Amino acid sequence: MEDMTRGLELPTDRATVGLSRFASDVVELLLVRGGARPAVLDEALLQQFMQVIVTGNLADIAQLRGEFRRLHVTPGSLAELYIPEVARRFGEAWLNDTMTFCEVTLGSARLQSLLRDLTSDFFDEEMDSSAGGVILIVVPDGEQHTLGGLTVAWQLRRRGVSVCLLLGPKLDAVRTLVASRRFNGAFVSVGSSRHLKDLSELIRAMKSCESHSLMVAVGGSIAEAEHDEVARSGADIVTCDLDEALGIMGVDMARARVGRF
Amino acid sequence: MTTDGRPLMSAGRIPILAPEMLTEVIGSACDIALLISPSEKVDSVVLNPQHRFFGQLAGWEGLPLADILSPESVRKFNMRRADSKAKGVPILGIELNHADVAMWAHPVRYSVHQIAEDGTLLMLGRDLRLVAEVQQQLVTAQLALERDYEAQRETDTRYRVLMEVSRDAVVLISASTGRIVDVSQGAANLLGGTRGELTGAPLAQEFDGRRRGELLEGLTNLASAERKTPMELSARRSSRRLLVTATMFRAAGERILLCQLEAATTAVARSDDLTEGLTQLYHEGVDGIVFADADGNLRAANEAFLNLTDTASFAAIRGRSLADFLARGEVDLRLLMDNVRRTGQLKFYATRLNTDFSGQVAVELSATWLNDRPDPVLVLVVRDASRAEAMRRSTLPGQDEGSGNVMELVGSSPLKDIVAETTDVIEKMCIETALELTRNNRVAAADLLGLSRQSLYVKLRKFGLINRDDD
Repeated sequence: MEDMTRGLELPTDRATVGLSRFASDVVELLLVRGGARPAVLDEALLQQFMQVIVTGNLADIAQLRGEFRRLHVTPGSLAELYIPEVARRFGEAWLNDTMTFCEVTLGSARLQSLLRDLTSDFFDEEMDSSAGGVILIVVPDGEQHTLGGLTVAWQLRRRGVSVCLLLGPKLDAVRTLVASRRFNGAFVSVGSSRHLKDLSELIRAMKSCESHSLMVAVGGSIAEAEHDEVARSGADIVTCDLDEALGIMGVDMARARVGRF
Repeated sequence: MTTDGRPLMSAGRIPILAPEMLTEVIGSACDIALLISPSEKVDSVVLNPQHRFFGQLAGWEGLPLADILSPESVRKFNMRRADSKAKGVPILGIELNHADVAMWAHPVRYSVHQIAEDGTLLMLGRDLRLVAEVQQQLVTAQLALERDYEAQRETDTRYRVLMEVSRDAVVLISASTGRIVDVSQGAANLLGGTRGELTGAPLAQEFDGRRRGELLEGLTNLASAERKTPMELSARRSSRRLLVTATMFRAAGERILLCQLEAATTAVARSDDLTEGLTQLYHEGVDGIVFADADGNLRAANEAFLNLTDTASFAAIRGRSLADFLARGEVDLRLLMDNVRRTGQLKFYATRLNTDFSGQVAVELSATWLNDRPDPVLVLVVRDASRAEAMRRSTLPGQDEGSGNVMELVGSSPLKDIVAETTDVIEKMCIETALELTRNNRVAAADLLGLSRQSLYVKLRKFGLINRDDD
């Protein structure tokens, strides 16, 4: 009888413990899957977020985090959806003169610092050399805002692509880099038409390596506003659609993955 | 308008001004004024004589307005102008960027007034270049910061990969707090924990019989000693004897001890005391100890094992296969043998032992393959796992984390969807694990999972673990 009691009770304890751990693992996995679901913007939350960024009271961000969590907005969605949308609305606000360029600059700087905070611990793409491809991103010298380039870098890293980000490089540095490394393609982020005349020269430098031809995609607000002129600069692709550009470059998106973030 | 809202001119307080006087008033009231003709060409440029930033802009006169603005500003001006015309109100504030061949782009905040019926415009501007220069400094500083971050990211990646992949056992310890700052995978293996568990833990807690102050002092002395004789310590989690050497360095104002660990197996001296102790442990130890040959047949088993299996004496089971005692029989034995032959050892293998009275008891097995002899021997240490688990239950690690995850999940989908998805995840995890354990032997995996071979294939296809033509 004593033996039977031992035989019944103790394995049950063990099973409870095991299942509890197992369930935690399962929940973790489900959350990873949840991260891959397409997220949608919540307008009210976006307005709140924008207000916090404009006023610059970053302590309010901590309060907003609770709201983000409640609405299942992951840091990944914040970086991939909310931050670019707020940046786009800042641009519109400057056009309508509801925000001064100074306010736009400060707001963009705050968004950039938030993006950096959100993404600084994301290293998954580096640990799996078989995933995705290797992409060069260049923000040309003289560009006022680097947020676009940084957002693209993050979006690519999240897709498992390894990214080399060059901010305002000299042309010689670009030539040296493309000669020494093998990229699957390159992105140039241009926000102002003032730099259009330098763009051709930059693209020539990017394509200067004789041993392999680098495919160059140009994006940023200029890709929509001055599409034809950008196309004449020597770019192979003019688009703001990241997946379209990666598809044309032949980056193996089947291997790319979206981690929990 | 006056401050009380009455029109200034109609009050007759200001007489009609002569053109020279008007130019002087306009020039003084703003930094730059542009008179734009109905054909949107620059008719005149008036500069504030006290404001020297603009230099000579006479060249602008006669040029289309679009030629002295950046393309973005032209678009913006046209949009705001159309809106102003439609509403019949002046543009009281518009930021425009000037751009011409001779000057770098600079911003001006204008108010735009239609001063004649024909559409002639007077634009009164405030120079924003001082603000723009500050903004430029911010942008430059931010660029420098971002470049540093990118460079740091590359260095961080190399460091992380090194710590993750390197076989060298390295632990970084804060000399002031005595806590582990970081630990390489090699060191984590020797200490018997994961990198996540060990990072942030007090170092003294990881070794038996050492107080924090004493251990840190010992390591600090060792780091500064000329002849570095390793300190021998016993790891609490893995129960392994380790040799530790230390080096001290400073990083960002903090003193860090870099400790290199090495297994002290070679340092164990064979002595009569040891043999005697081991023999005593075999006979009187609480854990079962079993020796088996390369086929898994029993050669020796101690009293603790006999008690666990309710066996009267070893003579009754000598030569029998271990598979007879393992709940999953041949499957368990094959897994054990495959793993120990491949890696030399297997830790914490959870299974059940059959007892002589048709009962079962949960156990954890640690297996070691002694291969340094013509006739290799499998040694099993068998621990009654139910007791250990009962003790661990009160301090279940990861339980808080698990409930945190559940809080995130609840509300994201209906319960029945969560449960259905959970079932799929569990099925897939179990099948993947079974395939891994059986080294992709599907017959053995089906056996392990208690599935028919056909059912396993159906599930493999369902979860995309097999191609349709890969049968």
